[in-house]
Amino acid sequence: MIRLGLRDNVLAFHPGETIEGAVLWELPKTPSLAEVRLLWFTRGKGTEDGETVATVNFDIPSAGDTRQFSFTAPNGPYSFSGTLIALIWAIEFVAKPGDEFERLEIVIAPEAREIVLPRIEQKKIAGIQFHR
Amino acid sequence: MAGRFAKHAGVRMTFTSTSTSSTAGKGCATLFFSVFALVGLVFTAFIVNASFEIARTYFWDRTDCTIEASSVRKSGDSFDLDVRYSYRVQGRSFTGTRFRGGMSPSMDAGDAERARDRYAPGTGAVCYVDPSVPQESILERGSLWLLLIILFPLIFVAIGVGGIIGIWRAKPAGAKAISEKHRSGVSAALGLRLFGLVFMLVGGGLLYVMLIRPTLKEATATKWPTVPCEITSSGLGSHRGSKGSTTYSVEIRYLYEFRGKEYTGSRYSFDTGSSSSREWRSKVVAQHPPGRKTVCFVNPEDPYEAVLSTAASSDRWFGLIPAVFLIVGLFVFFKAPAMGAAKRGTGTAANTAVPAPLRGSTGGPVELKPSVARMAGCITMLIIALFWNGIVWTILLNMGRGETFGRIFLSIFALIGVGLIGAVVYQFLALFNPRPVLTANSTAIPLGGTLEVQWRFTGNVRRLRRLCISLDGREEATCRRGTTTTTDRIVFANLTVAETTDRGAMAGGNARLTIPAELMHTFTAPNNKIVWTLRVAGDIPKWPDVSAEFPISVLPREPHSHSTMETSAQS
Repeated sequence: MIRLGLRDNVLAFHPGETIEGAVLWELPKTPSLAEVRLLWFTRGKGTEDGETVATVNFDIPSAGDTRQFSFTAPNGPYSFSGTLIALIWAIEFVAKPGDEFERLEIVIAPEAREIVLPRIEQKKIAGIQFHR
Repeated sequence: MAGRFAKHAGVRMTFTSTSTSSTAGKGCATLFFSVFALVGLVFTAFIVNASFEIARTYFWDRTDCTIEASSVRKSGDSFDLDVRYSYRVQGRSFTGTRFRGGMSPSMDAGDAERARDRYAPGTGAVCYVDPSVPQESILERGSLWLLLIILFPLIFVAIGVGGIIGIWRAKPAGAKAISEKHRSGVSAALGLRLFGLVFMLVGGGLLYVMLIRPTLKEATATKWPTVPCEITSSGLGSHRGSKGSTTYSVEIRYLYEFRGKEYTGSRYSFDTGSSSSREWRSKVVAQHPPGRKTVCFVNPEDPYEAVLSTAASSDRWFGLIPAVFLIVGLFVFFKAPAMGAAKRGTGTAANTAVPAPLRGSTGGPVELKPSVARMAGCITMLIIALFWNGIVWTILLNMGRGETFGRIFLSIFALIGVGLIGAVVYQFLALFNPRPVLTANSTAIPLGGTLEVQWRFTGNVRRLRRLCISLDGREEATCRRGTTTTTDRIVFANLTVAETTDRGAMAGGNARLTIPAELMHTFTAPNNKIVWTLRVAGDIPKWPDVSAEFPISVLPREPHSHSTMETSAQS
């Protein structure tokens, strides 16, 4: 059992803001590695991209434990949602060996609001694209 | 958070459909890799069996023998040596008739005559006798180097088995931490390198056999002495394939004399094998009827080797096809680490996806570079058109008369070739268009920042009827499935910088634009991108239009604080 939570249940952050939280786990065996990662990944039509940008590693983890962590929300990339692509920030707790993990999706963007991209219809006439 | 993304149905649904973890998908992929593994296993078994036949002869006893008879026999497209020899084992006499054991390369007339002369009747030789069955013997042992061929089917087995294991060991997308999935592109790169290696080996090998070797041999043969020779037989060999297709070969034999000894030749040119090209082969046969006296080129160091023609046939173009495999293989092999990273979306730091702010002075105008140079685009299109048309038209023009279906099928490819030629002409004419030169206050502008653009043209700007310069922001999503890669593009911002029909304004001008702060900055991941470009579109009547793109970087908003990242952990 793994529980991952953020302070005051806040899930949206400004770039540069502090992200604070705690993780509680009860695992069948003592993990050799337990860490919380701040990452972004993409969803949408393209093949998934992703990147872990910061990691908090917990020293001497036990099978059942509770730890706190904090990150600074990076300046980019922003959380956004477009027609083809969405970029999602997340915090993941990972324990090894095994495939134990828990993920919490968050927003990192100006005004702590995901950017929503519009779609502009285009039509091509005689080599020049005009926009409606 | 899930609800937030669920409202963008297009994204959500497409994402779900890209999952490869479905049973049906796994079944199809398993079937695909099973074919690889099965074909590889069948060939491996065949080669292992043949290898065993060769290897066991190396444990046989060397025994003196006497050649009683030897003669050359034509066997299909190649030649064999019919031989009879006698030997004694433990006081008993035996007669052998096997020349070589196990898998051995086929012989042409020269090879066979060379062997016949080596084992002339009445001469002594060494043969190899199975000590447990003395009746079994051979005159020459097969080469153990042939065992290396086993590597080729083993590559197929490795791909097939590795693929199946990879499919069934892979966990469903949701069962694995995303940070783990994007942790390493090493395995993906390794697989791609293996894939590239197979293409390289197959393409390189075929390129050598079909193009390089015959070309080199021709260059050498032109320096060989020519001697009179007489055609003893000639005909058009026809070979029916398993799918009903027919291929043709020149079957020719000729006698020639070199340094007082008579030889038989069977090679017309260095283009090996047979193909569907019947026309030139029919002409060759017609030009070389039995009894015709002509000249042939003889290798002075090995007079058994001779050739009638040192000219390349139209079949030589086929040799370029493996070059495509070789180029693809080389590209994949050397780009595998980057492609593996792209497949996995691996990176090492947050800033790899976000353009870095310009360091030092950002002031002062900067001339922007177009995304594609016009000349490079034209040359690339020319190479593609030449390559495509060279192959398609060579095959089409050399097809037999009866192959109507094949002609119709190839006509589709020929039409594409015509379209490519049209594209080359279009690109060539566009080279003479006025060239836009754009200068900006910086190549990296933050969201909410001001972009100042100056434009001018080199060339005859009077031909322009209308000019539109815009700043476009677009999403680019690349989907990779197997060897298929598709990229979709959607414009989310189109900001007009300048739009005019005034000749003076079209020739040169400047404009300012504030980039909306609420949009997305430039984002560059291996498969997903947010791209910002200044686009110049100029309309020229009855002529290819001016069209050019100048990429710029749009940075995140200026940070107000927390410019460095901090992390902490507490027990």
